[in-house]
Order: sequence, then C-alpha cells, then structure tokens
Amino acid sequence: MSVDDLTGHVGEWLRGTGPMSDIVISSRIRLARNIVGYPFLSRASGDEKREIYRALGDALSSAGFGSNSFFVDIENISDVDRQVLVERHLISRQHAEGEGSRGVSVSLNETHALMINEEDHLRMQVLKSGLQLETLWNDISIIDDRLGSEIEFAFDERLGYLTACPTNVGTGLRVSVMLHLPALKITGEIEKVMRAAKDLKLAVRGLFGEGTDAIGDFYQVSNQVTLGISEEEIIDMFSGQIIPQIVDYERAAREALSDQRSVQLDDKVWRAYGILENARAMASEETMFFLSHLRMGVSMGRFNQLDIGTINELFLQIQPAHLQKRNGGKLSGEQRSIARANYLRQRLGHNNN
Amino acid sequence: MGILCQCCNQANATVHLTDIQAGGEPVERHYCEACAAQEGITMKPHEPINTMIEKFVKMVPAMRDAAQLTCPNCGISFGEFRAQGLLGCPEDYTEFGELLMPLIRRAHDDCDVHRGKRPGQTNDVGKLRVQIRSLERQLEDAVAEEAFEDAARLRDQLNTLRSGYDASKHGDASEDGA
Repeated sequence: MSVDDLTGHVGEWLRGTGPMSDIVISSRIRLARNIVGYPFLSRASGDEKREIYRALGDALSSAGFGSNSFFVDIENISDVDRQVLVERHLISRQHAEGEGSRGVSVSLNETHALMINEEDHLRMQVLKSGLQLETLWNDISIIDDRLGSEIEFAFDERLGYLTACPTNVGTGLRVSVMLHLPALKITGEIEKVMRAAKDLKLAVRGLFGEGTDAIGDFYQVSNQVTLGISEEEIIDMFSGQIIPQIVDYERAAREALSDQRSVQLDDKVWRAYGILENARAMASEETMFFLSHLRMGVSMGRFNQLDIGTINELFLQIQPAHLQKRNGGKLSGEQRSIARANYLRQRLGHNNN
Repeated sequence: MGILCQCCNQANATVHLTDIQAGGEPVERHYCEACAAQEGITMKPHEPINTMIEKFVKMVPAMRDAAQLTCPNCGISFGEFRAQGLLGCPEDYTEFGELLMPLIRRAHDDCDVHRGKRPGQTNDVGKLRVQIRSLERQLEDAVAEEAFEDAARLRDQLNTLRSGYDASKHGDASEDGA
C-alpha cells in the first residue's frame, strides 16, 4: 500500500455517514506525545530526529501497527504525494513542509494516522465521519496505551503530558469537528456562532486547520484549553453541548430558508449544479463554493440526483494534488482548472462532451 | 490649538490613544491626565517622573536576566522560547518553571494542574470517570425533580464508584513511582 493506492477512493471519514452527517462532516481527535530523553524537535539534531523516528517506528511495529496500516516516509516522497496526504487530512501542512526524518503510519481505512516528528515527536490522530467523539476517544486512548507500553512518554505529575508548545500541555488533546454551515453563511448568522465559539475559548478554522479560510462553508471547531480539564470533559462538552447547538442553528437556518426563500434556495442549488456540470474551467475556490450549495441541496432533500457520499468525494477529488495524481504529472494552475472541470463533467454530466 | 478631553470636555487632552478594533479600524481617543488616570489608562499622574524611570531601569535587567535564563539540558534560553513559541525539551517546564506558569495559565483558562489521563492508566479508569459524570448528572436531575428516593440510591452508587476511582488512580500513581 502506498500513496498511489489512496487517491482512487475516499477514507472512512468522508463517507457521509454517522450521527448528524448532514451537517457534521467529520470528527477528529489528536493526542500530542513526546519521548522521554530527547529534546523537542526545534532543538533536535538531524541524528536525534532519525533516532526518534526509528524508536517510534519500532514501537509502532512491536505494538502491532504493521498489519492493518501502512507507513509513509514523508521525507522521501514527492511534494505531490505529501500534498495528497494533506488533502486527505492524514498529515498536517506543517508535517508536509517540515524538514528531516518524519513519517506517518496510516490505517488502511484511514481512520487513524500517527505522525512522527511533526511539532511533537508523536501526534496520533483518529478521524471518522459524523459526530462520533466517544468512539474516537476510546480508539485513540487504546492506541495511546499500546504505544505507551512500548515507549515512555514525557509526563509531569502536575502539568501532565509535556509538549513542545505550552498551549498543548496537559492532555495534549485536540478535538476538531468539521461542520458544513452553508445556511448560516447565507443568512449571515455565522458571525454570531463564531463569536459565541470564541467566548467559549474554542478555535474556529477553515478546511485545512490553522491559518486556512472557511472555503466551501466548512468550519473546524476545536478546543484550545488542554490543561485542568479531563479528556472526557472536553469530549462531553463537544458532543453534549457545543456541536448539537451549532447543528440546531444550522438546521433552523435551513428551515427558515426553505420556508421563506425556497425559490432562491433552489435557484442556488440548481445554478451550482448547472455550472459544475457544464463549466470548461473551474478554479478550486469557486468549485468548493458551488459544491457547498449542491451539498446543502442534497442534505435538505431538495436535490436527489446525488448522495452526500458522492459530494463529499468530489470535494476531495477536485483538490490540486488529487487532480495531478489522476493526470499522472504536474499541472499548472490553468491546466488544473481545465482538468477539474473535465472531471466534474465526467462525474456529474449526462453526456460526456 | 489643543483637543478637549472627550471625557470631561473641559481640560486639554494630553493622552492620545489609538485602538485597533477587531475589524482593523483605528479608533482615536483623547483624555486629559486626570480622566486618563481615572479610566485606568495611565499611571497615577502624581508619580514623579524620576521614580518611573528608576522603576523602568530596574525592570530592564530583570527582563534581560529572564530572557537569558538557559536550560542546561537543551541549551535554549527563555528569550529564544519567547521568540519561537516552542520549548526545547521537556526539562524546560522545570527550568523555566515560574516564568512559564503565567503563560500556561493564560492559555488554559487560569488552570495549571493536569486532570486527565496518566501514563499506564488503563481505559477502565476513563470509563469509570464517564460513569461517575453521568451519575452526577442523574443525581442533579433527581434532586431538581425532588425524587429523593432516586437521589439517595444514586448517591450510594456514586460513592461506591468514586472510592473505586480514587483507589485506581492511586494505584496508577504509585506504580509510576510518582
């Protein structure tokens, strides 16, 4: 199994199933850990990074992560392959753009990805479609236990798990839930949600995490406080209060739109379909914009020619690195726009002209 | 021609502030010395300038000393950490202890003690914690509904679980040699 084998299909997290999957695209939990006896990566030499890489690689295989997973040596793959992993949310941008020995172990169904030598020595993450945080916590805690019995993690009685950045110290846990909120965007209420989230000390980011825009009306909501609160309390807060509340707002906004502006709503959805199905050159951002409207139409039952799983897949397949993999070589921005439009016509159109 | 203080509208404004709003819009504010002090914008106006300078001169070496404090284990200085935002090694948390704590508290809603999972702690302890929390919620509901028989039963269950939880946490801590 290699990066090449990934691009033809989608990971479990984009399947469009699971609780609240009309609005919740995916749930993700990551844990940050560091090995005792090594400096953090900003002070680690090339040799030390190699040692950490080997030590964690060994721990992964003796903990049994070889059989249902595959390992990618990030340092020695092409830029496009790294970008494929970023687009699939298996590694972070920071990990892709880093230096020196680094790698990721990915389960075959892409529900877990264990990054070696990102900002911390080990960043474990699990992801699934819909709102499934309890299951994810159970899964990642077992992974943490299995690796923790092979290798000693830096831990302090008072401060908990020690991380390179003090903003992650304690549990080292970050919950991120990706939401699709097109109706709140259309009604202009999204700003209210963002403000409320900030008051609750939550971060709201775009599709690819830190420093990215909310293209395609996707918003990632995540916790920032990792100390003084237990993992279960953080998860409880998300799945018991924060996410159901935002989902309710979005549903209310969708209802208001169908009650009061149903023609305009259908117009948005069908225009989106018309453009996606017929355009000859599509930039990435406008594609995301129209796919977002189409997804809203499908999940509201106003457009029945496609299912959510297919739309989710299109969101992934129109990303630059996925397009280039499918074309078997590097493409310029303009060539990508043409390839993207061709792909969309092929997937959506009735006649492949 | 001076600007009048926007607060009292009488004295000449000598304190001028430019706030950058969330949207990036600059907003100018003008106060006289007395109103600025009252608003908490400036220090007490009657503090003599030489005292202020003396305080500042004393502060600079303290800041310089803090910035130069270096971890013997990895060699990073506190100043370098501040510049890049990343620590050099796990020992920095001990070496920079008191300098670091205000930053940690600011990032974590004033908390500075870990309350989550520990190494070697099995998942059962986590599950126990989830059970305890759900019982606590049921108990609150029972009390709110004045269902006191239920509440008493829930309280007994909670006490049993809590003592089990404390025991398992203790067991883990001593195993770790902590």
